[in-house]
Amino acid sequence: MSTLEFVGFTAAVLLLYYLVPRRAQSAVLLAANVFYCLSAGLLCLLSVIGVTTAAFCSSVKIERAAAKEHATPQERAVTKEHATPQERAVTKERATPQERKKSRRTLVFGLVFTLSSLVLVKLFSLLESASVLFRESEGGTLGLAFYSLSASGYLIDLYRGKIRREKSFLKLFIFVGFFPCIRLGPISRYSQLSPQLNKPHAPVWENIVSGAIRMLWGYFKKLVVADTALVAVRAIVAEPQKYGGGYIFFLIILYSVAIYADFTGGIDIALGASRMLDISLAENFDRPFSSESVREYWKRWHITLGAYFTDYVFYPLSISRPMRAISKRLRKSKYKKIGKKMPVYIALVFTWFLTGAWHGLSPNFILWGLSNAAVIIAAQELSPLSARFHQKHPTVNNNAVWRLFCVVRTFLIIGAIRIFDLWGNALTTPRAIASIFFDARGWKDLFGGGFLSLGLSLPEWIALAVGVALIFAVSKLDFKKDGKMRNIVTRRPLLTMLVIVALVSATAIFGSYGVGFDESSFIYSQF
Amino acid sequence: MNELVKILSSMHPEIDFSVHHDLLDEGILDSIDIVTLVGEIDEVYGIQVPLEEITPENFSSVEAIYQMIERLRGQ
Repeated sequence: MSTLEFVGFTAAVLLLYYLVPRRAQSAVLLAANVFYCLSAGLLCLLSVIGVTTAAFCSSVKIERAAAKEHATPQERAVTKEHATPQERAVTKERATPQERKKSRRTLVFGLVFTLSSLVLVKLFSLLESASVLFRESEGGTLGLAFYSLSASGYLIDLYRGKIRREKSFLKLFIFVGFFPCIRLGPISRYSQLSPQLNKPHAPVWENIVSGAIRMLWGYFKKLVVADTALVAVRAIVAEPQKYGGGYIFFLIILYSVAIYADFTGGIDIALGASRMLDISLAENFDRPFSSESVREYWKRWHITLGAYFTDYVFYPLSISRPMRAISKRLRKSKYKKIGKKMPVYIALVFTWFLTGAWHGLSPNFILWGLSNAAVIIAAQELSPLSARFHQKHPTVNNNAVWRLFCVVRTFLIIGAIRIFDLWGNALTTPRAIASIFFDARGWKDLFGGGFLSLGLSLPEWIALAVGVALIFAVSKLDFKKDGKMRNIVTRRPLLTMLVIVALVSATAIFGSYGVGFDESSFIYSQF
Repeated sequence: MNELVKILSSMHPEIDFSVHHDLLDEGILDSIDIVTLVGEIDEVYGIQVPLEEITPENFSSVEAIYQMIERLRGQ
């Protein structure tokens, strides 16, 4: 679906959604999901139905097994959503070891069933180019990496007794295939999204206006900033021998800008569309480039994916029985320090390996994931040094220059790791990064006006710089958290009109159009 | 409680834990800290914190963590 088609489609859904009787709104969402998936191809619809079917069938068994594990029917009433951890812990004791084993086996079977298509697609993608710039976005597998995680999260929450089973297949389909989230997420939790999908919604003018503005803002980021920056990114990546030194440093900045504008733009479109439907999705970003450490950055970037891996992989693995046993044994030996750190580090490496694999199974994505783990572990190991430094200089943390240094350092480290995305050959990235320090010719060439040979004219570079400055200014205002700012824009009709006209005009004049610049060209929709 | 504050202070010497009451929302504790803390609780108090107890409510403040320890100790 192209940009204009998606805008038209969302408007049509909105009209129908608020015109039909409230109890029929779910049916509109169902039809919208089916239509949206079909627009990407029959295979896409079949894939969403397949994942929903897998989750639905597994959920019956998981609920039965989990009920045995958790409690008697009377106690089950309190083990669900509103149960306190005490209540859950007490009831869990009632399961026999065999029942627990069976319950776990049922969950594993359900997860394999639900995630198998994603794993198969990742395996087949090994045959394609491993660079995000040159991969084809397959209609049939569109968004599989996002909605299959939502579906598997539903099963794990069901197993843990946090939610009740969805007894209606169609309602589960509406949740798994909720059209604004299909392409790029955010990865939704059943307990947060499903109640909203099943309740009636009255039209709220403020939601419709702020949702529309957020969608337009998303398109501005995507079409004006991301797609323009990607032209220069592609030019550098296509000829790594020609463009070394300063070009690679420039690439790190440029690709960071491009992927931020691309992904946050896509998420703004998704969150804006669902806000218009009076449905709140989880925020996926919290000004990640203001992070002062890599660890902090990953709490602010792609929040829903990070939360998924933390809740469903990192915690269960790091406090699993075998991990605790090994850690305990090491703590009692002369390797006490290793015993303390081991569960965290092993779980970190495994979680980041999986996060890399989620992006793609090719070596460059795996190396990207492991590099993140390595940086986080290195920072953790250097923390005593850092603590000593801060003890000596207790006021440094309040120093604006020091904090800016930390922000720039984090931006560059993350950016340098991120360019693993760009070359299928994983060895090209370290070679390119090394050239920053050794290729003086590249620096000289870049500052001699070489950036004009990257496919963008001077006015296009200026438009890009203005777009980046605008994104920076808006992120500083932080509309998401500051309701006051949002109200100022949405409650003054003249200002609302002005913002809408400005965004539409800027996107129309400076946006990138043509073949390939449709919705499916989001970088993250390839994962 | 003092032991717990000692553990937390060894993890974040720069933080005064008597002042901060929203450790997660303020970004003081993250998942790595929580797993480290769970290991320390196991060692110091001899209590294994189960997975279902790892919730934002249980790790939001020193008091909440201590209440969880007391509760698990009573079981």
